[in-house]
Amino acid sequence: MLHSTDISTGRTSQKSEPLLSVDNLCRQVSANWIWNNISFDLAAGDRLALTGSSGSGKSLLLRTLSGLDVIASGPSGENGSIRFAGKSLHEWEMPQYRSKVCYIQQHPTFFDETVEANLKRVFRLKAHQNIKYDREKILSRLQQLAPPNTASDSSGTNDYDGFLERPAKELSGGEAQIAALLRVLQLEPQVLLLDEPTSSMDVELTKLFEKLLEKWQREIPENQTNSPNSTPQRAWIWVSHNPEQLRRMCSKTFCLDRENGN
Amino acid sequence: METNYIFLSGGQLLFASLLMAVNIGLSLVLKLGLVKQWSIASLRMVGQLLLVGFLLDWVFALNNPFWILGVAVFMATVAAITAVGRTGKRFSTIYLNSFVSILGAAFFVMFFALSGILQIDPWYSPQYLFPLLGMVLGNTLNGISLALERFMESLSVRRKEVEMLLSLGATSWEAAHELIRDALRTSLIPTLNSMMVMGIVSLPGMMTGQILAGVSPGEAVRYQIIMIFIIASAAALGSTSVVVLAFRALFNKRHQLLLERLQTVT
Repeated sequence: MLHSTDISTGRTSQKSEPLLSVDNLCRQVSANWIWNNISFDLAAGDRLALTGSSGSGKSLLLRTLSGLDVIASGPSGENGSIRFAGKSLHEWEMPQYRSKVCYIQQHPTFFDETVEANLKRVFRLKAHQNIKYDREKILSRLQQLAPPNTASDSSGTNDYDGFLERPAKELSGGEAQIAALLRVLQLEPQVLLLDEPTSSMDVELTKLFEKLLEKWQREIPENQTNSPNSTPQRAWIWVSHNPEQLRRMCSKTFCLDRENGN
Repeated sequence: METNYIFLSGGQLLFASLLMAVNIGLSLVLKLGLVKQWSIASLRMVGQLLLVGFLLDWVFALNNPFWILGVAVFMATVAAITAVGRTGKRFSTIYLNSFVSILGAAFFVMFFALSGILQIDPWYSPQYLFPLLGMVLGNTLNGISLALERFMESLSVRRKEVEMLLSLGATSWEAAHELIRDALRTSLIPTLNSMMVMGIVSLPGMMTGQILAGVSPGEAVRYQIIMIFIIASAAALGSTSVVVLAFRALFNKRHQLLLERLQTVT
């Protein structure tokens, strides 16, 4: 396993190597093969739409990419592999990998405390002890999600006043998806794995949410100042049943149905 | 001391069994349908106890460390199997984990008590080892059973929470810590509760037995105190060990939750 990845490192130069590269992944549930021999690359700055009919295993693929599921060997015993930033998944410490390749569940989970406490809780984890909670940044991102008509209101209040103080378990579906995104963005991820991220939002909020993500992608990460080229390095894989949204937010498509013709 | 002790004859035992007639009578009058169960339970209880009496008399007389330890390990094995028997979910190494935990915890506290506190020579003297071991195993069994059940149940119920933490960069230990703590608390509640009301609500069996055998209450209480410490320590050690082992069985080094290893018992 390790030998073969060494060879591929030698073959491709550091610069042209994709950010995330998936090779020969297979997935079986009970006796059925959900997908077979899946391979694709995600370059820095890529916005990939992941499509497929219901039950084609889109969420399973995102889970596998986030390292939550064991990579199974295929029907003829071949081994699939995932490489990220020049290293195979086996060489990564999983907590480090998962804070760079972040998976957001469609129906996010929170602890029974305020939104802010949930956001802060992330920094108790050993992997994130060197970064600090930044309330201002959270508030400015929330501001971007406020509907424009209330932003012009002279009282200065908007829909997200007191959002951080609210009990996370009482958030509506759309609000929970917002909170989950804010929680993950704190980790400065390089790849977002988005599982129907706006499925519980109305049209208006969906547009604002998309704008927020587009802005995030163009931001230059704090730890990479004075980057010579300003092309976005951040990438995402987006699962959605809304083709309009995928057209807006993605430039490439990977379809699980097509890949799994058998 | 032995002067106030009443030796029981077979006739007295039979006489005592008349009390079961009250239970059976109640069941008949109220149509509870418990006649068969009361009869079986009474017969089993009498049979098992008489048998264990003979067995212990025999082991006491042998006074051979290998036989004594053999019987002790057998008792621990039965306890380990029973502890797993009550759980609703299983994984492949669960029996081994239960056995290692119960034997480890019991051996540690027994050795500490017999050779450290009571300073019995030799430490495997059956007169002390078996009564203490019986109580230690009984309590550790309950602790292990509750801890396993709770831990496995909450892993499946709170799976999303665990995986949310994992996907935010938590180690498997960080992700499961809350559940481990919860399982250990649950498993130790009965021990803690009984310690809280010890002597007020309940007079423990061992102490009662010693008083019946003619030991002064003040003296019996001292034994009971030691006993409770031993029991509580064994229950805590056994539960902790079994939950940590279950944690190691259900997560891998890649910080992945392997819930497919849990089989529901049908």
